[in-house]
Amino acid sequence: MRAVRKSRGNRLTAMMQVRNEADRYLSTVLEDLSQFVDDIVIVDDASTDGTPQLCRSFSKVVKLVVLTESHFGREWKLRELLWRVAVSTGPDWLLALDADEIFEDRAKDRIRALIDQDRYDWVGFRIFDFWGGFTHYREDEHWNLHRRFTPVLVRYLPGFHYVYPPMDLHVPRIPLTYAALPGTCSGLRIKHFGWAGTAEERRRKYERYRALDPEGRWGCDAQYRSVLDPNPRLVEWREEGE
Amino acid sequence: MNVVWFGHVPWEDFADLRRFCNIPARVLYWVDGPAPRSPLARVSHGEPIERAGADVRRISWRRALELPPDETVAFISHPLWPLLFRGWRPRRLVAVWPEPSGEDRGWWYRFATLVSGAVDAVWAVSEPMYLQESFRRVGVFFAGGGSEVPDREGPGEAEELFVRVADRLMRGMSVEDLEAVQWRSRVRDYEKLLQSSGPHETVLFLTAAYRYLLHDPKAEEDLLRSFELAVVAGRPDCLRTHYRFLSAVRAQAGDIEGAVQVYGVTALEEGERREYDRLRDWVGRGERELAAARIYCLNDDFRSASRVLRGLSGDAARRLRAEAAVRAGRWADALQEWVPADGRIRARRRDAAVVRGTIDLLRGNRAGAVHHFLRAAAEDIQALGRLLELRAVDKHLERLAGKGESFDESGSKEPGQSVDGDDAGAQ
Repeated sequence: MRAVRKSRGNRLTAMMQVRNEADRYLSTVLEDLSQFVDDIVIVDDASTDGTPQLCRSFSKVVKLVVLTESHFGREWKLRELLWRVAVSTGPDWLLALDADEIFEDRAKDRIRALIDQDRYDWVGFRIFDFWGGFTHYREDEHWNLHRRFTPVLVRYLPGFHYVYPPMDLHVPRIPLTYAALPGTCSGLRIKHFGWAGTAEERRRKYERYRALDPEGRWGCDAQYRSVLDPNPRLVEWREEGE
Repeated sequence: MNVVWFGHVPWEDFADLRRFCNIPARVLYWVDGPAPRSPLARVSHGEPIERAGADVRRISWRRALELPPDETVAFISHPLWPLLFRGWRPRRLVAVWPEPSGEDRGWWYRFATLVSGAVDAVWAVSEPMYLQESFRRVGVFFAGGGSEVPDREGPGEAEELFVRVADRLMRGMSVEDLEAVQWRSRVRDYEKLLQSSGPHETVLFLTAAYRYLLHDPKAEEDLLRSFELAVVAGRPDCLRTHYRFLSAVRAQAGDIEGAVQVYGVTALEEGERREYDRLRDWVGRGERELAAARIYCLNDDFRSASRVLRGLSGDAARRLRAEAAVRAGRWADALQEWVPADGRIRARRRDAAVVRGTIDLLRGNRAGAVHHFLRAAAEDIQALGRLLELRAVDKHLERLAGKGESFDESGSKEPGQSVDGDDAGAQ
């Protein structure tokens, strides 16, 4: 009878939901992931720009589910689907990244040590919101995700009770019941490029969120508005050892 | 048949459980429990007490012990009464535990738990105690009023059942099948509460527990919903307090591998991880019943564990049976599982001494209890706590029996009462 936790030989599977990412960061992200994960599982949320074809060009993408109708306004359904598809591949660990997130370089050498142990079932990382480019991240009262640890790397425990909260937007990327399991926090950092584009791109993203969540039910109203702040506080990103 | 009730308070203060006194008997003998404010001198032998229904006569505890035991059914609502019984063993002994209050709470629960395994049936006002005992043994009933459930239907349901249980006990019949009446009733009450108030972590957990006792597969659904709510509420350790119970639910459904894996998810400390390895080993070797019994024990379900272990042979099964008997308060049964080879292992020598001391304690043999607890302490200093506990027993017993009365000396002098003398292998 196999132990629910094993301390060596763990298979790492990245899982990701994507939508119209072909001309953004997806290629870079998949290239980077391909260097240190064993498999990649993707659910495409009805892209119209060739994203599925791009995904298929990476050999580590072992499973790609393409939806014909977008679930973006019912995100928890999308998260649940991605989870089901990912665990159907029999992973030991799952890495839940977005298509615009990338680990800092040193993670490639260190991530195996985080999963080849039998004490913790999730690992939290600090996520930095890059703003208007790739040299600075934003830091103020609304943009401080990097000050806490977000679990994105989780052990898959077959048979455990996995539940996503029924939220239309901003659904946690891993099932909430992981909160009951033991976890640890890593010093490795994740760079989020979702806001790294031009001011016009940020405005379009802002308008998309406002259309889906006009009353700020699923997110923070003030944070939505802060996206349009013309002079946010930015901090220079420094690579490890600089 | 004589019916005697050894109270936890004087009759005048017996408001909370008096509704259970409609026992089918010509006369109910009543023994006053300790009075917080009133003097003990109020006890007078044979004094009639005004009460509707059957005749109730107040007698002293000494007089009560003169009733012919073979023709007497006794109810106790104070856990120390058996220590004064010494050799007196009524035909049927029923514990009716009220809700303790104040500083006596911890002590009360401790001793009520010790005594509960040695009686023929248990009634508990406290729902946690009722559930705990229901998982330990058969013949457990709820004496609570269901005050947490608004608009509860069927007032007097518990009182009616009490009479049925008493009647069956007096006639020497089993009462095991009557338990499900209350389990179903609790499920119905909590379902109503959930419908009126919405999902609630504790209510769902309790519903799951009663469904489990009823072998209702819906227990899993309620339990998992309760677990989700516990996670959302940030309950620390809900993996153990909530999720682990799923292993018992799975074992009950016959999914032993699933049960072991659920336990494995919750096995975080070293001891738990060793336990999990042992369970996997048993399953791997085809010892599925042994694994199931251990899963039940790990969920404090000694009732199911004892049932499964009854037909098993082998050393591991014997030791599990002994553990289940100890945890269920069936001290004499635990001692029967002891073999001379256990004497070669320090922890088992300690355990045997503790069991013997407890048996002596409950028989009112203080000297015997001290002797065995000292031997246990010689094996493990932690066992000294048992000796310290005797001081609390002395204090409470004095209040129960009257000034100057103790359970020392006379009990230990009764021939054949000490359980000592059969432990040569423990040396």
